[in-house]
Amino acid sequence: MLFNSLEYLVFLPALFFLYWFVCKNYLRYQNILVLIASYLFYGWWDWRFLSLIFLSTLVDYSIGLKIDGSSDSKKRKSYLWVSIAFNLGLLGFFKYYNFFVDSWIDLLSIVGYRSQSPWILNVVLPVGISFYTFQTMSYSLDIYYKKLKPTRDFISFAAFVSFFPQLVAGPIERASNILPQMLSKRVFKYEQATDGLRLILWGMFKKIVIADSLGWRVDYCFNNFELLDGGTLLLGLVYFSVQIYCDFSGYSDIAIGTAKLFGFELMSNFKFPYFSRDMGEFWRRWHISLSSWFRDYLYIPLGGSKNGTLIAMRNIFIIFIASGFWHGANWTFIAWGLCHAILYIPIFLSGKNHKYKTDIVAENNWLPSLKEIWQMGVTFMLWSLAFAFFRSQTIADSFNYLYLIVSKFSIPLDNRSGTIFLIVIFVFEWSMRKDERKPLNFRSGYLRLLVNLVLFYFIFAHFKLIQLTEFIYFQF
Amino acid sequence: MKNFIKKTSLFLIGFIIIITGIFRINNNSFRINSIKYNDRLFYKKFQYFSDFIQQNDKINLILGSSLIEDSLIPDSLGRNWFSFTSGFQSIYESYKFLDFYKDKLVIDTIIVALQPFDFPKSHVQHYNNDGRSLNGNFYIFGEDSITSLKRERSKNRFKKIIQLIKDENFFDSDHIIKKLTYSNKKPLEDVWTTQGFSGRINAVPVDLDKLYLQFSQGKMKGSTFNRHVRYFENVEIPPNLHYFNLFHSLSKSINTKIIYLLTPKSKYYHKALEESNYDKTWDIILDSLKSKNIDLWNYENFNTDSFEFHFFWDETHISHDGAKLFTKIIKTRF
Repeated sequence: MLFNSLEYLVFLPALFFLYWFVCKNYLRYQNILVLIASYLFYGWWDWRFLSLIFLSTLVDYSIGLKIDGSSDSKKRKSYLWVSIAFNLGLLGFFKYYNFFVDSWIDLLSIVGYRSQSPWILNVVLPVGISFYTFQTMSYSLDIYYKKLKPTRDFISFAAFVSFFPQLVAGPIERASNILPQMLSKRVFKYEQATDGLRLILWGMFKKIVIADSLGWRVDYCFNNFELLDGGTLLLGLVYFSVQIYCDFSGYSDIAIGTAKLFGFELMSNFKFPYFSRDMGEFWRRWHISLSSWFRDYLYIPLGGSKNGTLIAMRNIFIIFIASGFWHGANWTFIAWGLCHAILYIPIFLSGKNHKYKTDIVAENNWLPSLKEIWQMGVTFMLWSLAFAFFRSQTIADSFNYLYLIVSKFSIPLDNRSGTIFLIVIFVFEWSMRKDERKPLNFRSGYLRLLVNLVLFYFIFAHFKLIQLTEFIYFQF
Repeated sequence: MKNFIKKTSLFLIGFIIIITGIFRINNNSFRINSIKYNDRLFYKKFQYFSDFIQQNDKINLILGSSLIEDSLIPDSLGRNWFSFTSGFQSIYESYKFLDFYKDKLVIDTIIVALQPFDFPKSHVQHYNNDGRSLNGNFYIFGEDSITSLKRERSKNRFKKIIQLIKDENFFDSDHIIKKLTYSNKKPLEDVWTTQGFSGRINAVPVDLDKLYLQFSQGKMKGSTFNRHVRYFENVEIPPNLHYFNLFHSLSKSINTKIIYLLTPKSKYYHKALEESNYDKTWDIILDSLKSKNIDLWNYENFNTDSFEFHFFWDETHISHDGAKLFTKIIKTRF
């Protein structure tokens, strides 16, 4: 089921009613309801793949108990490897199998051996598999590192794994955050619920109005890039940066907002990344749940930055390439990850990667300083240029695209109307940049009502009842 | 909780009142015209045709699917030409249309396109899901087991109607941008003429050769190079000429000159037919038609290689530039 579908608009209030009115005083019933609703939500797309979620739940539930119940470190490690092998095996088969076979055939063809492989399979990529496998893996890892005690409540654990708001596109939650909430009584809070509705409204606006309106403009640039001028191509990359941000952060906002309606607090996934002053700050604000996952379960176990500069640089390359590869089974994503490692290394070597760790740009001012505008502009443009690798079909196309931006550079001659969406999103986000969890929370009640009505109108006008546009991150 | 539900409900009620008001202003009524919203483009064409026949005593018609809809510009053929063509309009639907108007109009000439899906084994049986090749709006010219098929089977009909109401009455940002930026210019996709040329043509030039390269490498989805599959669904040998015969007999009975036209197709369509063996099926259908001594203008094997890439927007549909050229060719032949 898609958040931007009519079905969801019926599903959400119906579930809200059952959850708060029918199961109000019964925590166990509420959790059972969340579990059923989550399986219904996912099964709406394809019920056959529910078996994968169930299997992943069962494996990590059992392994969590086994790891905790064992004091022998070798046994604990073996159990952990079973969990990792199972989850990565699922991911590897459904997402990467054909990529590896294709790459192997390509490699053979380089040395002159041409073959049509009988091993290519028509595998359907189950929606959200990259998200829930990482989520369940983190549960076993946390128990292994003794950061978490396993739960014996299977229903609550299954509800945590399949929790519908974030099941198919994150945030990739940690058991340490959600499980305690699953196991304790939830109380309806007015402020939490209204914040939830505002997040849903703002997320829907970003997805349905901004991202989908920019979508066809981006397609136009990438489908016809050999015919267009450099300025238009550059604009296409900028549009794509905003499209993917609004699409993905819109999804996260709807997920966090929906969870709030049921008394849950999910982790933040985006903190206005386009107002970052360098790439270090950027990566602390973009897809936080994935970046922190790689930091905690890959970068730090590999030694992080504690074993010298060379090892740290190796680790940086590993996590950026892994992060790129996580996005999809294509060399373009690996090139994108590599590109970001290259952009990040200089700032790491200069020791300034933690310079902007907690503060917010122009925190006490209406507008940023010239220096901040320059810093944000450079960071945004570097990020956008790297998207040439992410969005193109092949690496050769990415280089061609970038080459044409330079060789045919001019002011954009075409496709300029999308800039209005950039202005809208940047103005709104700037006004809300102090707290990503409380959007549209203007002091004046009248202004709040007016803005809510206007946004609601545009969502309504853009809302598609047929030919729905999926969220971009569903494919990852 | 009470406060939350009260405020949320008030907000939604307020919003419903506002959009109902907007609908009332735009629509001049609270009533919803179901035929209009079932298919806005079809309704628009129907409205234009109703006006057209009020103004012309003797008319000429172009009938058929989007293949001919995109190929011929009626305005360039003459003032009394109207193109009552629409997506997947089969010859049976053209027959229903003609049957409805046979006593109401004087029709001098009809150019009607022939396409594989005019010869299915049956319009009613042997289809996978809703794959049947019919336009589905021709029940307005008389309901029967065929014309009402798609109407009954369309799962998303309700959603489609609401979507059309929304599109017409509530402006999205692209609509507003278009209004602002094209205040004096007509965008290409909106080139409707009162003679039924819908101009459902891509504004963006399409590089078909490049697209085909992507398609052949498995990097492109969609129907651009797969149209032929649906055209030949349920088409078997020997061909079923029943629907064709109905149309042909009716047109003879009203003394109208009929030209059957096969529109130009891209080299990729021919290639696809060869690869899937549909070319043999189509040859047998054409042989059966030739034996009927009809006026068949076959431009399918027209030298499409000389058509530059932007003369087609997919394997079978001609672009605006292509339509201008092809209409000239047809006019000259007249």
